Amino acid sequence: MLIYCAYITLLMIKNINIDGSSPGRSTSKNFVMVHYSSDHISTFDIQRVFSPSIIRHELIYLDRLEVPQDLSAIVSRYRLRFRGDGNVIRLFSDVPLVFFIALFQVYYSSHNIITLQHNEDWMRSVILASEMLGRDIEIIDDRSNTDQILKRAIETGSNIVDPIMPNANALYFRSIGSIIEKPEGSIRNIIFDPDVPDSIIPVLSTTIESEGCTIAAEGIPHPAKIPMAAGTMYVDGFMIDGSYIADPAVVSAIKDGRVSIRHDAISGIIAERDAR
Amino acid sequence: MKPFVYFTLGYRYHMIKQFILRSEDVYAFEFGFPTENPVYDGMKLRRTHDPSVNMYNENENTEVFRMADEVGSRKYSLMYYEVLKSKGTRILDYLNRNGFDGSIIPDLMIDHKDAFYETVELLRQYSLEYVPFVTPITPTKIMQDQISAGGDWIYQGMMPATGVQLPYSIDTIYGHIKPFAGGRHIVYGFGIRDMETMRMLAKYDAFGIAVGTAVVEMIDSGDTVSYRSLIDMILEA
Repeated sequence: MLIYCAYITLLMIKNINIDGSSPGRSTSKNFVMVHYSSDHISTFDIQRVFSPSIIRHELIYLDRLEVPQDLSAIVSRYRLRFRGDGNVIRLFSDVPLVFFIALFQVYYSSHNIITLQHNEDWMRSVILASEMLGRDIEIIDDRSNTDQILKRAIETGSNIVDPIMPNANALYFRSIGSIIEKPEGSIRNIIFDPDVPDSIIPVLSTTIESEGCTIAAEGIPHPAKIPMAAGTMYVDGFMIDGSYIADPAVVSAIKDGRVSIRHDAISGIIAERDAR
Repeated sequence: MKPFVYFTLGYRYHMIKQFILRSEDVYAFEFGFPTENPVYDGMKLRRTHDPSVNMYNENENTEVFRMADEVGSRKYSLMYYEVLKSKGTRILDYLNRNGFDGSIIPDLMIDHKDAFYETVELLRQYSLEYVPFVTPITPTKIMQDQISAGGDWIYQGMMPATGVQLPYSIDTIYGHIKPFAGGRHIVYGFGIRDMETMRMLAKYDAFGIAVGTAVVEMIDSGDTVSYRSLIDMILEA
């Protein structure tokens, strides 16, 4: 308890709550986002280069996804569990969290898939998912080159996969709620590094019944137009410490002041047990 | 089908009046009240809210509303919740006194859900119908709540914001709204301007077509001929 109190006191917490009373969880209440088409990419091209299922998952509200048996079998191999004995516990996963986003997208795509070069977790995940599902993958080195990936996808008949697909990501993470192991005791707060896929936060928060939600970062969130789907579309979200927050529920929670900011360096996701 | 035409109040009153004069058979006008942050509008409509070009004036409004009444069209306000919050019941009284039929508040159930029932009740007190506003990414529960609180028509935005083109299929959008429509009229809006799309929407129970961004472009170019053609196209579809 003493350690816990000292830990909290030492941290500089900037709370951006308006009323401070609302819990930081929301999976479907605040789901509507504003999407912008790219100025120079036609919807026809978007339809050609993304799997129709992924477009549907991304652009039409779906309460839930019926996970096909073979996909469910792959997901069930994994567990998301918290470890630690004290009041602060850490989320562990056998694979990077972004693997689940890669897995779903690769599953719903055609035989040939193509992606822009993103961070190591994404590349590892998308290659693993491709190997599991027997897909051929092509990587475009320049991560900002939307025109090149579109051109190559059209030429080769490939489907683009991308780590930032806000609504689909939320849907995929909701579908894997069953592999999250609820830790013992009541959880008062989830703290996450803005580099983690933010779509997991609402489902994690709901599953473990956390009362609050905090981003560990040096800066504060700034409203931004976030490029998604390999830069073919945009969505209203936030940028913090160079990372995107694009999940609809998290964006909505930030707007409503239901997310706190803690000026601290934390890697991954941790949870604080209620010490009461 | 029935034409529903959007104008932002304050944006080029002179042209709005010219267009209303050519609005025979327009079923309803949606009059947008300018705001600093029209978040669910696309870039072209956002510009019409900009104080540097928007000369909102209640005397001009009176004339515009009178002309709309002479055409015999219904009148609906389209205002963001912030407008209602800042002006309070004065704006509801204003709408009531000017013979408005109802109000579309696009961000109410998205960003101000806690104020939903209170707002619907306030509208009712001023004899204004709440118009449900849904898009393809509106959660089903929110859609149900809105439709049950609304009147005889639903505004179905084809896109999450106006003036954008995303690769939706009409079939999927219809499948999203139909189970919840409960026999109410569906008015499709956002990014619709060609006859092919309108004819297709007619097959999906469309009661009306709402046009906004296309009308702003015509206002900017002073093109009353194209405006009338657009209205005729909707009527024929």
